Amino acid sequence: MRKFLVVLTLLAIGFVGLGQVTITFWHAMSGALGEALTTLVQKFMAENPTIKVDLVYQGGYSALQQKLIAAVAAKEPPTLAQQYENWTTQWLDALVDLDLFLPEVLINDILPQFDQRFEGRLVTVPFNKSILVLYYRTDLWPVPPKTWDEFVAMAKAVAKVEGGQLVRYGTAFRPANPEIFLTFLTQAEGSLLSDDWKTVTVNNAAGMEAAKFAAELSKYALVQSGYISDALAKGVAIGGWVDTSAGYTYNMSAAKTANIPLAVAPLPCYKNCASMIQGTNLAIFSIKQTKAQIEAAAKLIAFLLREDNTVYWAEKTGYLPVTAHGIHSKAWQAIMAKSEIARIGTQQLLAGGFGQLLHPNYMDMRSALITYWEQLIKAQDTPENIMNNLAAQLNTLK
Amino acid sequence: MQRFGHWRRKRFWWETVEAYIYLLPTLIVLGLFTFYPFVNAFVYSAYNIRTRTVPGPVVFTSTEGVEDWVRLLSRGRLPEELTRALERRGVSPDNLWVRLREANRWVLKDEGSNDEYIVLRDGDTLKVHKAATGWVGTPVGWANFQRALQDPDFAKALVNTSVYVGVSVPVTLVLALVIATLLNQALRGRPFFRLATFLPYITPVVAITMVWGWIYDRHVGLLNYLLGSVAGLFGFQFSFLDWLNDARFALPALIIMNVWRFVGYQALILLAGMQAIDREYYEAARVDGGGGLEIWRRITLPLLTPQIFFLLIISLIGSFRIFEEVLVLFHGPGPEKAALTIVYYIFTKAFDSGHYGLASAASVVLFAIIFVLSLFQLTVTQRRVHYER
Repeated sequence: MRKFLVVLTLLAIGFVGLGQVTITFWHAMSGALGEALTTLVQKFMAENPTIKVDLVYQGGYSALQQKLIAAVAAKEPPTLAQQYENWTTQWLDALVDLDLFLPEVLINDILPQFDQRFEGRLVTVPFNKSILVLYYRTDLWPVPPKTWDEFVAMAKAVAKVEGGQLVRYGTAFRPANPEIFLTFLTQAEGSLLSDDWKTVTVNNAAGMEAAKFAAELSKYALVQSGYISDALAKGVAIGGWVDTSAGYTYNMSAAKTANIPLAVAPLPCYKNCASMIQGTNLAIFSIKQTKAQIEAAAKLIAFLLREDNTVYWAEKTGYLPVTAHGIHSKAWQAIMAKSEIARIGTQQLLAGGFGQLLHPNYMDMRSALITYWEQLIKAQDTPENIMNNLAAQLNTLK
Repeated sequence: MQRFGHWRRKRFWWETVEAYIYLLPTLIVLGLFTFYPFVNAFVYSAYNIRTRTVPGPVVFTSTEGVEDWVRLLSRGRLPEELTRALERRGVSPDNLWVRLREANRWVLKDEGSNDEYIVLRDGDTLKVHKAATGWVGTPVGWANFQRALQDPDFAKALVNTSVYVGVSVPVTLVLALVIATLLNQALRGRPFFRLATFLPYITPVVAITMVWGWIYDRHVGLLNYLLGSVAGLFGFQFSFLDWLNDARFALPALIIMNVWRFVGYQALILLAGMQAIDREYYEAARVDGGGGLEIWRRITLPLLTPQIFFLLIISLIGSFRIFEEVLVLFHGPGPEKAALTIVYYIFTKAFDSGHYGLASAASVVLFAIIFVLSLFQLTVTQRRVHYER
C-alpha cells in the first residue's frame, strides 16, 4: 500500500511538472519593494500551481535597461519585464499586444491617467507608479500654496538673502528633472508637440507662461544636481518643492535627520491641476515565448492588477494603485485615512495625472529639455529665447 | 638550412602548440569581449539599428475579402483562407496565433517552428510575408558620423574631454615626479607615505567618488571648509564654492579628484624607475661638482624618460575614457553639461536613447583620436626617451 502511494505521489508530481509553464520576470525592485513583489508572485504561484515564475532582480533601472537591450539584441528576452515608456518604444515590435490576452474588463479598469497606447497598441500596463506632489516646511509656510501665484508668493516670502547670496530657499529644482517643467507646461495647457507630432508647440503662449513661471520661481530656488532630500538632511532650509510621491520616505527621513516639520500637499494649480506620472510599466516579450508562456504572463499581470493586489503593492511600496477598483476600494480608502502620502498622491493622480510623450525620440527630446530647463532655472537667458531655442532643437527631433 | 632546422623538430611544434593552448583562454576572452565588440563598433557605425519585425519573402497574396481579413485579424482571429494557405506550407492552424495588430500590419506566430508571418495591407491587397523580429540595421553610410559631428553635445563632450586630458595628464605627471623625488629621499616614515599615496589608486572608484561628493558639498563639504579656513587666516572673505552645481567648477572638480587618485600610482612607477638608476651616474656627477637640482635635471629626469613615456601613453588613453566618476559625482553630465565626456556621451546615446549606430560612430571617433595621439607620442615623443646603457 505504502509503495503504491509513493508511486502515485511521484506520478502526480511528474504530471504537474510536465504541465508546468515557466516564465521569467525581470524587475528592478530592491529592498522592501522587492519583498512585496516576491510575496505577490509567491501568492500567484500558490493560486496557479501550473505556472512557475522565475522572478529575477536585475539591479537598478539602468542595469535592467542595459540587460533588456542586450537580451532583445540576442533574441533571449524574459517573458515579462518592468520598463519605462522610452525603453518600450525601442523594441515595440518585440512586444505582445496585451489586449489580445487580457480580459477587457481588466483593461477598462486601468485608470485613464495610465492609459498609454504605443502607435495605437496596448503593449504595457502600469505597475509601480508615483506622481509629482508638493513637499513643504510647515514651520516656514503653514498653509500650502494652491495656485501658481501663491507658490511664487511663498517662495519669495521664505527666501532669505545674506551677502548677496540666498541662504534660505523658497523652493528647489534639479536640472535632471525636466518633468517639473512638463508639469507646469501641461498646467498652462501647453505641450511639447501638437497631437499629430508634426508641429513643435513648446514655444507658444502656454509654453511661454510655463517658462516665465519657472523663471520667476527660480529667483528664490536652490538649484542643484543632487537629490533635494540630501540638501534637506544637511540642514539646507527650503520652503517647498516639487518631488515624486515615491520620494516621500527619503524626504521624510531627511526631515527627521534635520529635525524639521515637513508635510505634503497637491501641486499648486494653474489652468488645471496636471501632474506628471512617474514609474515603470509591465510588458510581455514575444521573442522565443510560447503562447502558453504569454498566457501565463498575462495571467500574472491580471493578478498583479487585481483589486486586492494593486492595493497591497501600493500599501507596501508607497506607489499608487493603478486600477479604478483598486483606488476606490475600501482597503485603499482605509489606507488613505491613515497615510498622508497615499491620500495626497491619489488626490493628485485623479486631479490630473498625465504620462510621458510616447514619441520614439523622446529620450533625445528629454536631453534637450534638460539643457534648456537648466538654462531656465539658472536664468541664463530670457524665457522667450530659451523656449525658442528649445523649439528649434525639438524641431530636429520630432 | 641550419636557421630553419628547428621547424623539423617535433619538440618545437609541441612547444608552440602548448604555448597556444596556454594562451587560448585569454585569447577567447579577449576575442569575445574586446576584439569582437571593437570590430562591431566599426560595423554598427554605418547602420541605424532598431528592433523591428521585418517582412521577408511573400508566401501568399489575397485581393478578395480584404475587409473580412482586416476585421478578423483586428480581433486577433485568423481568416480561414489564411490558415489554409499556411497549412499548405506545413503550418498547423493550432500553432498559429496573432501577437501584434496595427491598422495595416499584423504579426502571426507559428508556435511549432517559432517562425513569424507578417500580414501587410496595401490598399486592396493583403500580402503575407515570412517575417523575423530582432535588431535590424539599415545602412546609412557616414550619416552617423555626420550626426555626431553636428551634435552640439558631442562637440561639448570633445572639448570637455580634451580640457580634462590636457590638464589632468601633465598635472598628475608633474606632481607624481615631485612626490617620487621626495619619496626617494631618506625621509622618516617613507613606507607610510608610499602607502598613503598609492591607496587612492587601489580603492574602488565608486567609493572614492562618493567620498569626494561629500568633500565637494557646498554647504558641509571639507574642501570649502579648508578653503574658508585658509582664507580666514589671511583675513579674506570666502563665499562657498558650489563645486558640483556650478559649471565653472565641475571640470576642475573632476580633475582634482582624479589627479589625487592617480598621482600615487604614477609616483610609484617613477620611484621604481629612480631606484633602478645606476648610483655611479650620481657619484660621477657629484665628483664633477653637480648640485642636487642640477643632478636631478640632468641625470634623474633623462633616465626616467622611459617611465614618463609609459605613463604619458597610459594616462592619456585612460583619461580619454573617463566615465564612472562623472556618473557618480554628478548623477548626469554635470551642470550645463560641463562634465559631459565622450564616453558618457556614447553611453547615453546607446543606452538611454537607443542610437547604437550613433554611439558606435562616436566610439570610432574616440578611437581615432586616441590612436592618432598615441601614434604621435610613439613617433615624436619617443625620440626624447633615453634608455640607460
